[in-house]
Amino acid sequence: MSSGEVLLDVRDLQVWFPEHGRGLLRRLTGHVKAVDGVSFEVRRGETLGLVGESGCGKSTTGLALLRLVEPTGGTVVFDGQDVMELDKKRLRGLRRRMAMIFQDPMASLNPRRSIGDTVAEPLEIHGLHEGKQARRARVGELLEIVGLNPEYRNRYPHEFSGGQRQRVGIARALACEPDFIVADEPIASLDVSIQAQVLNLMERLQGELGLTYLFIAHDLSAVQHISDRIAVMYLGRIVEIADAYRLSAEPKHPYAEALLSAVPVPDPERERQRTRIILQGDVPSPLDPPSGCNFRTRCPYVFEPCATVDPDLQPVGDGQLAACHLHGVVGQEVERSAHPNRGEGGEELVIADSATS
Amino acid sequence: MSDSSSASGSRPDQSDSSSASGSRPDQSDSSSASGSRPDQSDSSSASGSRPDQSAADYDADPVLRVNDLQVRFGTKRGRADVVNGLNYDLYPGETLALVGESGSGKSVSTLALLGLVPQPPGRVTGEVVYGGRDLLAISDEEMRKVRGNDIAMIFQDPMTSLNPVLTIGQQVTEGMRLHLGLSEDDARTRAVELLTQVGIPSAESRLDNYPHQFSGGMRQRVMIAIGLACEPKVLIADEPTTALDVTIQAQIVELINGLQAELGTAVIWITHDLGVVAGLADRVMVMYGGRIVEQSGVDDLYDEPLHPYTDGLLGSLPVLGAGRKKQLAAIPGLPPDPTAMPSGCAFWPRCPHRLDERCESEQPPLRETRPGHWSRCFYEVPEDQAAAR
Repeated sequence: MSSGEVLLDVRDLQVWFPEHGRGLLRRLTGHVKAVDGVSFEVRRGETLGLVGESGCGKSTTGLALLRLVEPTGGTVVFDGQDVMELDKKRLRGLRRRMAMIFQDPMASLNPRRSIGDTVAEPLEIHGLHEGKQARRARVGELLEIVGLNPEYRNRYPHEFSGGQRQRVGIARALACEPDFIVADEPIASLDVSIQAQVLNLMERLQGELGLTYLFIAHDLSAVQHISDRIAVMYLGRIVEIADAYRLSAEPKHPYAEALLSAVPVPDPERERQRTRIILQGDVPSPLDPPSGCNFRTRCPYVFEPCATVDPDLQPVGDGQLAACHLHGVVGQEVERSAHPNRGEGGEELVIADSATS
Repeated sequence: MSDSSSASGSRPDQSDSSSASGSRPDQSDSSSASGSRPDQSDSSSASGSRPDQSAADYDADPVLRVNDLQVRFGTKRGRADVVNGLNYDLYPGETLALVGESGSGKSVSTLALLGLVPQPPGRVTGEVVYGGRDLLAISDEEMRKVRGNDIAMIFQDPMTSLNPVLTIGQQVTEGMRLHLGLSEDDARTRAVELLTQVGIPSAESRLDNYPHQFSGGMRQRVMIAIGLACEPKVLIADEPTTALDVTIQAQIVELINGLQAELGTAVIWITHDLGVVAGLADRVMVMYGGRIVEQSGVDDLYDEPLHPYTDGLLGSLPVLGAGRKKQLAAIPGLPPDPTAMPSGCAFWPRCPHRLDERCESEQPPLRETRPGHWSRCFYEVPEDQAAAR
């Protein structure tokens, strides 16, 4: 998949929310840097997974791509079109080709609208399949594609289970035959056995309809399963992008490494043997992220350049990108010695020639 | 921990039905399995025990015995059979995982232990023996002395289960003052100790903060501190890490494991996450349709799941680091509606191995198919299908 043309090209995407003081003038006091310079590409037909913990900016990134949240900087180019430049009308046209699936189908479906009407709504907005018969037929077809009985079209969301509601959400996203779908935590609110059904459905649809996905989730196992490549976010930045399996085998960024080490695996033997890297403390506030590398306050490998120099996302081999000075010292590779989880003591790090490491 | 302490201290079906009344299919069936209470003999080896870490003591008497627990609710759509005859023993220091999906009855069954199921509309029957008393038969006042003191509970969502208008200090000290009769000063001192123990930095200064001033992980730590305040014999942890990020989840799991080893508390860990279970449980009970469908030591369950539901659950999990595979083996269909339980085995409408009408008409017994490994199925998962997972 990875050889396909670039469908979506995101450069330095920035979403800052202004913070105002409480005084009479409500002076601007700062910005919540929810997304702070995010760059990535999504190729046609691939699934890019976007993972990170709550508050890392992954959902905001997804919303900003469709301009459901206005970015404050950067560019988003979708199939040759600069999304940031579009006026309202042309933006609406674009949203026909970019759809979204939300986390909680109970909250994202109108409870007073039958599911048939919900699925038909995008068709109305975009004036597709005009005429009662044609629209009815299309809705039936969409429900069938996602594995729902078309006869349920007159039922309301509360009459369905969580998994079925998510299928309705997917049918709605598919209504206008989009090329690209942003799926924001589409399985997080579902039971395990139903999660698998939805993951399988999304994979099947991708094959049948040639869809491209940005799959946003916190569940690394699920993301790895469905994604071709994975981008890991921390505090508004992408810290690593790699092939899905390469990431799980060889994470390069210390945060990605810690995140992966914390994912529980359904295998008691592996659970007993593995070493978890337990990160100390909490994620810093996005209002005032640390200087330099924003992971340095929790990083077990922190050393001098981290506090002053902000590491760029750069190639670390085989299509893998990481934003970390461990891999960034020119001509040198920093060797990670001793137990990774030894807290603050950065002085134990050994800098060795890349040839020897 | 010696090897003789078997993790298979199970008692899935009532075999010495001393106190059990009535004649549910469970109990009549179970007579076939009687005489083999694994907890009475050490012979059934250390299957599933975790000698390296576990604090479980299977030679001791169980701290908690649950006999034929049933919970029903009257609803607009008719009677909902949520828990349909649950039998198990909980041993000191062990972690018993209660695994199931929403509606399997896992949470309700533990709420019922503590008298937290409102009656009506609920109706709880059976027997829960703790300290020689049946908790379902004691008065509300006596129950209040047990709850939070002998048996404590940690809930899933710390934001909704902490009181937003009381300070953390007030909430942590409440139980100690009530149950242990500590003075306000003593309770505060102890609260600082507890909060420090669960890893809250500068605990003293945070006692007067309110829940909203804490992050999700920190709030869950507060919940754990409250749960452990009176050093309970039994701690029921209802999805304590589900609302948390995975790095925080790892911290909390480690914290509870450590405290458990220190205090010898028996933990019932309720979760839907088979990944978490693998890392922390001594024994596992898988629930479906209000019944235990499989019970065993943790290793056996993952090595050789016997019940098709467990097998299906494991098959539907994407596993980090596993090779790329085409499709997850999802379980088709939906869990049963408790107001309209299927006749026979609750899982038959979704079961890939269903062989004959027996599944549809008869409730399968919970059988000890292997030593210490029980499954509620007439048949075994065919080897080739289990291997194909």
